[in-house]
Formats: sequence, C-alpha cells, structure tokens
Amino acid sequence: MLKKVLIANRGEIACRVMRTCKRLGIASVAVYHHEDRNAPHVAMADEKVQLTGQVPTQAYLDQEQIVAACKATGAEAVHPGYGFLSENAGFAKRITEAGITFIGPDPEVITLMGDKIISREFAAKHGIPVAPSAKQTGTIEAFIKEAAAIGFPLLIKASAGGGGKGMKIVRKTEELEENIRVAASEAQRYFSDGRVYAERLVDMPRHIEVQVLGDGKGNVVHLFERECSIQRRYQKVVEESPAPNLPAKLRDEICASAVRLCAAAKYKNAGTVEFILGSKGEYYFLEMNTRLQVEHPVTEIVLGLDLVEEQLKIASGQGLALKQSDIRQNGHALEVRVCAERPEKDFQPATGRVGVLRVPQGEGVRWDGGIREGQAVTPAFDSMLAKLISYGPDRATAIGRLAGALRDTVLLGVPTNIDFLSRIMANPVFKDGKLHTGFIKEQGESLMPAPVPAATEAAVAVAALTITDDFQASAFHTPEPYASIGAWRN
Amino acid sequence: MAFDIAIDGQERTADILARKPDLTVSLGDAVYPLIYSAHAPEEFEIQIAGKTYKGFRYATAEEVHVRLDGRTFVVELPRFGGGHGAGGKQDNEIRADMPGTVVSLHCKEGDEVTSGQKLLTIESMKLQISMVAPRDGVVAKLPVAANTTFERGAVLAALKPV
Repeated sequence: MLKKVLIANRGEIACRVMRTCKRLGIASVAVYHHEDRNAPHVAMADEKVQLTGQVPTQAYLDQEQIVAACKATGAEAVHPGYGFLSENAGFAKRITEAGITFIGPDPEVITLMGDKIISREFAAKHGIPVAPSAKQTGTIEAFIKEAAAIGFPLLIKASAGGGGKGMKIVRKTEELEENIRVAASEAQRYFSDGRVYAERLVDMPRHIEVQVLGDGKGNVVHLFERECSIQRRYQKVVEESPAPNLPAKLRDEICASAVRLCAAAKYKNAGTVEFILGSKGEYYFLEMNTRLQVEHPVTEIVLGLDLVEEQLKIASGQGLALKQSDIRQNGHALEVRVCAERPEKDFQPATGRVGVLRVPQGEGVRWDGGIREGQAVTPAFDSMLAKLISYGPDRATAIGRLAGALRDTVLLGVPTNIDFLSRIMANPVFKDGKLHTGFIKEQGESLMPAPVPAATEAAVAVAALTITDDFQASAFHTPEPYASIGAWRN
Repeated sequence: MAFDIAIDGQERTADILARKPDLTVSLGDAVYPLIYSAHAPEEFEIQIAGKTYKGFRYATAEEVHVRLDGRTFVVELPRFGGGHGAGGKQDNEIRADMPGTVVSLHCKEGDEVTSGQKLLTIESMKLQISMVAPRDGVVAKLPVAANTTFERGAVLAALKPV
C-alpha cells in the first residue's frame, strides 16, 4: 500500500480523502493557498505545503508547484479529488513522468473520455446507445445547418465542457443561431476550446449514472446506479442510490453498458458513466467522469464500501479486490449539496462568512464538510460548502432523516440553499420518486417558502432586534419611568 | 420607539409597548408579551404564549440571519441602513450582489427597454448571469464596459423613466 499521499485539492473532498488515508495509516499532505490557511483540510493533514498564485484557484491548478510539493515531502502519490486537475491528462502525465503515482486513469483514457465528441464515438463503436447528434467540424455556419437537421428540441454543448457550462436548450429554428454563437463563445472562455456540438434533447429525462471500478487491465465491476435528476443550472442538487422506480431489468442493462464501455477503455480507477433516461426506457450515453464524483457517498453507504480506499488499492497495484457477485445494494441513501447561493434569485452564488455552524448529527446522517466557523466564503472557489447524506432501510426513511438533518443544520452568515433543500424533501412528487431533470422548474411554486406564522415572525424580529443597542436600551436598561413614557410618547 | 425592519424583504414595524410585567412587543397590529433570554450571543430563547422559540442568529455587516424552526430568516434593521423601502433612486439602479466581470452588454445608453429585458450578462463565481430590467424605462447609464471587472455593490446599469 502507499505510504504518503498528497491531496491536490481543498474543501470537503480533501478532508474526505484524508479521513480514509488516516484510517489506513497513510500519511497525508495538504496543499493550500494563503486564503485557505485556516481551512479544515490544512489542519487535518499530517504535512502541509503552501502554494502561491495570483488568485487562489491558480495555486491549486499549478502543476509544477504540486510536483515540487511531492518531491519536498516525499509523497509517492497524488489524489486529485474532483474539479481542479482531476481530469487533466497533462497533469496525470506530468505526475507520472516525475515518478509519482497519479490516483486516476492513464492520461490517454482521460483524454478519450474528456472529449465529449470522441468519447461518444467510442461509446457508439462499442454498442452503447448515443443520442442523435451533430458535431462541429467546420465553420459555425455549416454547423448551424447540421444542427437544425437533427430536429428540435436540441441541446447545444461545449465539446470540451462539463458542469453545464456553455450548455443551451433550443426549441425553435429562429433561436438556434444565437444560442450556438453564445455557447461557442462561452466554451471558448471556460475551456479555451470553442467547438460545440448539438444533440437531440430527451424531454423530461432522468439522469442515471453508474459507478465503476477498473484495474486498468480490462477488469471492471459496477457499483450500481445513482439517480441525480434533481438539478438546477445543469448542476446536481440531490443524488440518491438506488434510483427510485427503475425496473431491475433496465437498471441491469444500463449498468452492463457502463461496464462494457470501461472494459473497452481498459479503465483504471473509480469512475462514473452518465446516462440520460427517457420516459419510454430509452437511454443514451452522456459522458464519463474519470474521477471520484461529488456524490460518491450514496454509493458507499448502500454498498458498505469506501471508494477512496478502493482507489488507493488500485493505484498501489493491488488490483480489484471486489467481484461483481459480492456487490449488493442494501437500503437507500440520499445526498444533498449545501451551496452558498440564493435559490429565490435563480440560484445565484452568494458570498459571506460562516458565522455560526452547527453540524447535524443522528442516526443515518453523514456531513461531509470542509468549512468551519469564521471561514470566509469568497467568489474565488466553487459555491458548494458541504454535502449532507442520509441512509435508511428504505427511501422514505432516508428522506425523513435527511429532512430532520437539514432542519437541525445551522449555517448562518452566508445565504445557502438549506431551506430550499428542506422543501424538496417535503415535496410530494419528490417523495413519490417521480423525478426528471426539470423537476425544480416544474415544481417552482411549491418549492417556495411557506407563509410564516405571526408569532414565529415576532420571535424572529425580537431575536434580531435584541442585538441592537437601541432595542436593548429600550427593552432592558432604560430606567422604568422613561420606558413607560416611551410606550406612548411617540 | 418604533423599529422599521424587514423580514425576508417584508417590511414590518416593531415597537416596545411595555417592559413589565412581561416585555411586550408589537409587530404590525399584533401584540406579544414575551420572555427573552440568551445563553450565548448567537443563541436565543423567546417564550410567546407558552411556546418556546429557540434558535440561532448572526449579524453580518448588512443584516441579521436568524435560524428558527428549521428555517433561516434574513432581517434588515435600521442601524444597518438596509436597502428596504428606499424606493425612488435605488429602483433605478441595478447593482452587483458580488464581484465579477461584465461579459457582454445587450443594450446601449439611451435604449428604451421593457421589464424583464436582458440588459447585460455578467460572470460571478464561474456562472453567467443575465441582468434584466426591473421595469420599463430608458437606459441612463451602463458604467461598466464589457470584459471589465466590478466590485460588489457596483452600479451595473441605471434606468430613467421613458
């Protein structure tokens, strides 16, 4: 097994990886930008190395500084987490050339799966269903014609993209040209690659993904599916496993497709194959993420596995310890992403300072966080603050526990989506498991806050006013005669 | 002494009517005798009509966040000079909630625009956001040019009546 691992990340995922390292007796090295010097991942690590950069994200993306940090600390391997350099083939190559183990797939496989167009072609070649599409090979004008020929509705995406950035839905011919131009310019800005492609949009689709583990020699097992259909701005909000109301036969077929894709690619590491599923049971390959996913905990909980441990075992050359027949789902797990944002303002990201933090506890509840009281939430990083995960013998119990945990969570000082998540848990359509990616838009009104009882509002007013000197003076410190005068002298 | 506050954007007037035997506070037309205590600065306990309201609070530079009954409320207080009820001039200005960059302008000064029309696109925290006209009007100012950064609170566009 590895002895020392550098975690080239921050926040909750850096803490998450370190927890497993600690349990397995592997020393951990944190890297951090000055702005994160008091962050939990720095405090948790056995060793730490500061990275410099004009802006904080640049520091975490600086390959040479990370290689130097490995050399300085003697770390034998790098765990990239998710985001940052996790799907950067150049980084995987650079690390490997420096004699360090990259905890992830080979650079060629990252390149293959990192390109939406090439990966789709690869999937189609190996018999995995893909949606009708058109790719940009020449000018944007030619592409507009090809895209229109597929028929509407259409989804326009960045070829090099992810996370919904540069993605547009087009329902009419007259909206096509402008949307393609905007998508191309966004793609250029985000990914330095302005190529876009278009595919037939499946209306009211479900997002079903399959967790896999591969040893790099063509041996692959799947760890069943996750449903991540509850999304906003094309980003996941609620994830769960198993997917509710998914027929076993269809589920097995989707999982087998994922295994076939990864076996063909000789995939090494934990990875996720994403599919969209239509209402008639038709499913299409969406993309593959060649890293640990944000939502991996729901799989861990229903299978009783530690995916970071499996990653470390594969990276250290121990191969696949699991047989497909040994892997069984047990119970139901749900995860919500706690983000600094304003749901009532179209989920705009928010900033502030974590003033008060009380993390929920209780049976079947797990908080994967990377924040602490006093920490600033700045625009420098992603808006996700933590993940809240629940488990139950069945879906209803897991929902009930998550609802209770959300209610118990106190995170003040920065606007968050916590109460919005509570309202999703209380939504009858969600409880029925009738999910699709347009759920939040469709349920719009019913996900708005309920009216507040008058006495509760009075308590809120007093709780806020009592921190002011004026109110304190009038309510508690004023000599009695003046106070009683105060009541009527206005 | 009356206190003009806003709870989640809803304007309310609170007043202290009496201190004894119980502290009595009015909110709007309703009157609440209550018992208030705080064991720590961020925690409070308030009893109203036999029911206990226990929660947490935190004051930011602009407002107080109150956590009660599994819900977070944002309270604007007079001492913070909160934006609520300001009306007039402020309604004419579209301000940035956070720092960012102007990606593109969809109108120019002097253009007549209608409510909901896209004025400009900004990027903050890696997300592109459209800023729309809050009402009909004429674009009076577009102070931040495309590809230029701005700070939180910066005026991104100003409208004047048609």
